Amino acid sequence: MTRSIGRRAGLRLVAAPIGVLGLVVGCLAAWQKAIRGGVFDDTFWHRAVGVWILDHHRILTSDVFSYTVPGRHWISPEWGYGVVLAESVRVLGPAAFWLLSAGLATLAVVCVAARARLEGAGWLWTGLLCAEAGVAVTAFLDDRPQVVSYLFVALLLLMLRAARRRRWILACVPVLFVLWANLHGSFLLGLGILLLEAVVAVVPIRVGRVTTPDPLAARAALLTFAGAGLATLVNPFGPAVYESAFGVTFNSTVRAFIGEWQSPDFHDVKTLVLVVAPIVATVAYLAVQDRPVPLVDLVLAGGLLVMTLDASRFLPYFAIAWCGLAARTSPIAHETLTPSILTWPVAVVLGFGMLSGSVVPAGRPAPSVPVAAVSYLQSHPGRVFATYLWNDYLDWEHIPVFIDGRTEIYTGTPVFRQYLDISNLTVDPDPILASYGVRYVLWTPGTPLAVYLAHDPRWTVVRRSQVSLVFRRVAAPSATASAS
Amino acid sequence: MRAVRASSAVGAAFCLWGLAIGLLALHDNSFLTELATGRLIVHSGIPHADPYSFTAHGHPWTLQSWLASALYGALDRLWDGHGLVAFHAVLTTALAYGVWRLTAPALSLAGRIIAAVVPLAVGTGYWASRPLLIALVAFAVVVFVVESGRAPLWVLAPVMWIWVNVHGSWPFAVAYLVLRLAGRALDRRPLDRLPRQLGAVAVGIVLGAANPFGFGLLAYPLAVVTHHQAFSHIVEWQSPSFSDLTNLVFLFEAVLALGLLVLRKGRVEDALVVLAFLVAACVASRNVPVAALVTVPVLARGLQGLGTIDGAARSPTALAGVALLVVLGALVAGKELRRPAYDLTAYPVREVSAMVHQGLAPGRVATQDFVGNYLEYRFGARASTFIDDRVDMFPASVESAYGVLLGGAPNWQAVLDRYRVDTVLWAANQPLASLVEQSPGWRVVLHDRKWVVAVRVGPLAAGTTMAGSAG
Repeated sequence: MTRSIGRRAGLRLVAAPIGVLGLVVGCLAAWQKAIRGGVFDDTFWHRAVGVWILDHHRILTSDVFSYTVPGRHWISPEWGYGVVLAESVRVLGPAAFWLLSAGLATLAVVCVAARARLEGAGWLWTGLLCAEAGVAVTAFLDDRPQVVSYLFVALLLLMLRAARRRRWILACVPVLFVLWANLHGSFLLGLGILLLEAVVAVVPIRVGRVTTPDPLAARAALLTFAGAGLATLVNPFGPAVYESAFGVTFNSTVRAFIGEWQSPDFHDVKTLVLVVAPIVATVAYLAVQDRPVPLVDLVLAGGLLVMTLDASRFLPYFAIAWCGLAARTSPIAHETLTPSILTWPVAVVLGFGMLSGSVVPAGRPAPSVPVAAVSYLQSHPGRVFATYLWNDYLDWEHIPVFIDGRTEIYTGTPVFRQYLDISNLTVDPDPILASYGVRYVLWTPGTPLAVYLAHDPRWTVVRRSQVSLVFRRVAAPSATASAS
Repeated sequence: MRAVRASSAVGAAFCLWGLAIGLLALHDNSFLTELATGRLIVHSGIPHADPYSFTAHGHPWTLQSWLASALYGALDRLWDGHGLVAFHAVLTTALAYGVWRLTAPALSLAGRIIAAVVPLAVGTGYWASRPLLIALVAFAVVVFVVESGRAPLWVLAPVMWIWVNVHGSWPFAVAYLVLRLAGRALDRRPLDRLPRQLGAVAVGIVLGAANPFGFGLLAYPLAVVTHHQAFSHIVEWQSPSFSDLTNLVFLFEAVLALGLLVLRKGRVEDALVVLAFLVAACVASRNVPVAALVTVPVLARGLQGLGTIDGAARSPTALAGVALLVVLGALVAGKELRRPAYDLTAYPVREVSAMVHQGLAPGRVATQDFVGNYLEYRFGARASTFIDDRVDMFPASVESAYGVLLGGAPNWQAVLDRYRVDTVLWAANQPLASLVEQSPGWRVVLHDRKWVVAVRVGPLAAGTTMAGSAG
């Protein structure tokens, strides 16, 4: 008996910190990445959109950034995110970049933790789930509206769980969807979750041991779904927001060429662990245990797993949804351990260890962004052809672009194909560049296009660094394109 | 005449499907080199060093698929290449039959059909004319022996000998049996014949060392580890894209199998097998057909009892159905075998003919890897290729040089100089084609919609160090 108590005490000292430490890791992983990375990628054009809207006091509905498709109709539910980002930076300063990436990611992890605890998971299991969710969200961390959707999915699942005890919480769901439909197109995923809840509330389903143990009241679930659906229409574009959201999701060009829309690369150990570990844990549990399996959580995790295997960008959503399933199917059935006194100093040391080291000041572009070269281009007028990612920075710096991260606006025009042809050097780039009156090319050293232009007498290198090369056309181009 | 079971008629339909897959014209680039090597084996014995390239000529080469190549070489002259198509068709038909037999645990006809349709659909996309196909047939036999409980154990030894000598994927058999053993122990079920089956497989593997390369062939699978970097550039070694319909079908099979395991609280043993091979498939798309195969009996168990028709009833109608399918199969085979045995539309056939006419080929020609395979098929040991898809054979320096050319990196000219390349034959939509067109050191002699042929203008730069050899 004494020995048993002694072992239990020892276990408590080890196990309880792991739970809390998992929460710390989950919450701080995003901060660790945010403070070291700098601003890059789509963040630039999101802020540029926000700044434009704030400056012009109207919603952007057509292109103002490119010289290839100027004035082309363009609407996006992400307009609200741009405004929030731009206004936050104006009010709070550069720290807003960290708050809107790492801050929101941390809140998402906290929601996962709260839900896991509501489902009855102990500290140890909750901590491990937080680590999974935090690392998964961090893998796609950026100042982008996706992070809002990670938070909103986690929050929605938490609200739906809490609504089992306090039904009034369902009344808040439409408010969430008003925000969501004005921030990011993944509100469609939220509606899918509500639809699933409504279906199992109306038609209780039992297939083998897969059941709906505590469905929402049918009327409440239906009203919530309807209310959320109506709430999404509260946006500057009305029903057209669906056209935009679906348009991006099913855009074949986007799915074919944009990295995050490709299937995950399982040669990346982190991806392998983030996807495979949950599957192994769940299947192992289900194969060993006889307990019932909650239908909604199983379908949601399974569906998002399939979506993740199709497009890696869904990995954080899968992790968040799987944590809900895992919390209800914890392998530690009766965890009685609680955090010990050892927990807090260890957590502090761990947190300090994660956040110490070199920091890229908030709001500063990442080292891969050719800031000095763009500064040069600002003082040398002329159209610029630059890499897909760097064009977003040109948006930020008010230099018209050939193409940028708003991929969907260019599909359906020759521009996207022309960009690929030039960047992959599948054609002689000069005729296309000349047709758009391009005077400068800002490109990565060592790539085929850079090699080609370096040997082309029609172009000369006017600026060179380790990150980028700036080529200038020797003779003035004769623009013949319709874009002027 | 005895009536046959309804299930036999349905099984015959799946065999017909398998036959149709196998009758497709030969086009796989790896196969072209396997065949070229088979011709060499028939004429002058098994090569132990690279006979094809000028970049690694004479470099030691463990021919992991020597037995498959020898078979291809022996069948090459049969019916003007159609002997190879027929051989391929026999393999795919056998595999389809094996899949059908593996669905037996479903018991009902509906369950068996669902469990067989999915892997056949995957096979339609993956069962190419390569040694892996023979390996898949061998794996189907191993899985069948494990599943049947009655099949004689001795069968495993010769099957494994063949597998070891046709393809380096034989460790899958060991992994499969070890997973089943571990799973069965976790299930707390009797191990039955599994340990003896594992022993028979081990005997077959050891016997597999009786080959022209000795134990070196058994060490071949380690090449995946030692040449990991080179393999990672090969599409089939990359993670599958689940936007592709074939891969999506496989995903459906795996998810359905796992879902049914959950619903019915299936065996840990099955869960382990499906999960492990699913992970293997996610890591490298070439493992998708392997995973699809081992999932069949698991899926069949999950679908057990679906519907009420068990297909065991014998009837003259079923007999007529089988007869009809046999006739249909003969008609399809007859029609397909009258078509050309090869489909070489993906290769620069016309361009290479023009190069031969101009005295440029065979010679020191830089091409993409799959074109190297074609040159070897066309010219045999005279091919003098820059590279082909044998990433396990080529030294890292050649793979690296090829990466430079493929990516159009700044030192592309230096690579061509170093290997004393006289001619470049490259796809017109690739960066190198544009670079040689632009370069004053190269003159384009042929440029069509798909290909560019350029020859060196003037002598090599002074002081160029020669790499490779005078293959």
